[in-house]
Amino acid sequence: SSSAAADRSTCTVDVAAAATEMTSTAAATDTHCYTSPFLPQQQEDNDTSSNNDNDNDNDKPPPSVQSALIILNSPMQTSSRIFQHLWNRSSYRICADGGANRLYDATTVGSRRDGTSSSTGNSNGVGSGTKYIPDLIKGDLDSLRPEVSSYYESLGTTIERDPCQDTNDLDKALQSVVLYRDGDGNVLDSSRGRRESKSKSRRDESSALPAVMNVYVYGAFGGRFDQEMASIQALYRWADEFSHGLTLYSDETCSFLLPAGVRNEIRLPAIPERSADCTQYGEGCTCGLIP
Amino acid sequence: YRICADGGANRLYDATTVGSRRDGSSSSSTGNSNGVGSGTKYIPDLIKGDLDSLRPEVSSYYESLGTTIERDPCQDTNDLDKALQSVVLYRDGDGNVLDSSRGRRESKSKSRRDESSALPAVMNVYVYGAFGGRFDQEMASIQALYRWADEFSHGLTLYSDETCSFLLPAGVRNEIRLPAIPERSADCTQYGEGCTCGLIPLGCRCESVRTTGLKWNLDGTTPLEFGGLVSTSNRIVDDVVTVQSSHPLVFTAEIIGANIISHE
Repeated sequence: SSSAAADRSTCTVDVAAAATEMTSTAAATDTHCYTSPFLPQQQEDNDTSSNNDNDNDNDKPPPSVQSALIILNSPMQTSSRIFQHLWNRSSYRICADGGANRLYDATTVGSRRDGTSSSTGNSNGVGSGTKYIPDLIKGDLDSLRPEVSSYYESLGTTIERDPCQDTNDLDKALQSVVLYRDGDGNVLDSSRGRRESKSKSRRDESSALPAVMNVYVYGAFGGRFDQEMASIQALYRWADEFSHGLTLYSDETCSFLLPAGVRNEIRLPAIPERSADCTQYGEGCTCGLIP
Repeated sequence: YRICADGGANRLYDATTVGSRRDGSSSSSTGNSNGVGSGTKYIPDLIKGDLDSLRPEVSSYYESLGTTIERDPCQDTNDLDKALQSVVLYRDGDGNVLDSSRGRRESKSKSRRDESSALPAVMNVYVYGAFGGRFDQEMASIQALYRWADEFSHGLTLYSDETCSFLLPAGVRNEIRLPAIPERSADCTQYGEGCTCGLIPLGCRCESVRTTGLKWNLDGTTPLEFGGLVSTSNRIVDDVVTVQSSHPLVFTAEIIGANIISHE
């Protein structure tokens, strides 16, 4: 109809106007890819570390894999394959305050609530305690138990107290990931002692651009709803800093933010429920789009 | 009026039936209906949903004790919405239409409608088990706060053992009274909402929010929105918290003391 023809011309103008409003980095044909860390690694890196998750102790993956892990203060299970998988894939691991308690209780064989441990006599791997040593414990530290702090500090973890009440522990941890990624972490190395070499940035020396660093936030769901919402808030607040590479995880669910104005391609294992093959773990089929 | 939304009946059964086992057999004597174990104490009025989760032995057990089992296979509404529809029917007295199918429960299903008035009785709704697990399911519960706000006059509250949430209407002075139990209170007999709270602009940006009674009050000058300001880890410091918001706003609080356990 004649009105439809007039509408089409109007439509064309509107599309052009909308395109000019988009950010310079997000033209209508740009594609943003999200690929699950639980998919078999093929083109992402060339090593075989993904096939040896069970053997990958505290060794870090090669520099081509750039992920940071933040552990929040939520109950966790030693046996979580989700946690183990994210730990093994990460090159920088931070406990946000009481997240260190959770890690300690879940991974230290014989740890007891009173702080004593049955593995103190042997530092060469009695139990799995020496396997999961974070690089950093950071936050206001009002939750961190003294024995947990001592234990990890004796094994080389940096303990960093930041009492600022305007930022929460997750934000503090994300700030540290930025410092690590951008190499400003070297400024703090003098206080880290033997950890100095491990704190070296992954910055690509030959380029002025910072290395891309995805962030896994484990323990982001469950517990208080306002704390879940603080994690969701971080998806929005830190989206630009990490190019939308921040993902929230618990053992039951995950979430990430999709940028506007681009074509998002999402690749997940989409494991069917109650699959007979119990070797599969990762994102399932059930999903949602939450505005 | 107590409803299990589909698999919620499995949860209730497993938690409250003495000697219940996953295979459905029960050690509580079927010969004694006078209270062996706690199974006879928690009998829901209705189990409703698409019933794809409800275990057969759970269904049989409750049906034998008078619970109505109602299957609604509609895929456009989730189990929570189906249950809320039933609450509306119950409140407004339309439930009587279904009473013929309920047998001995008919008298208990009678509406609470005020016979002397044309207005329905006010009915608040507690949704237990709304948090934890899948995030999209949590969001479906939050969605219900918004979708069913008018039907229940903002009287819908979501609960888990760790947290609760309810929707504050816009444009009015909201007065919120909670026990605000301190964390790690020496007196372990207290349970309910704790001090830690948040104001979450889930539905939309809240242009102007003013509060009193919180440790970090809002003065209406900064909008609440994701990507901007979201109030989390706030604290209740007064007996009454007041909130005035330009847009509907989710209030959430920590729950303290749900389970008495020897460790934290």
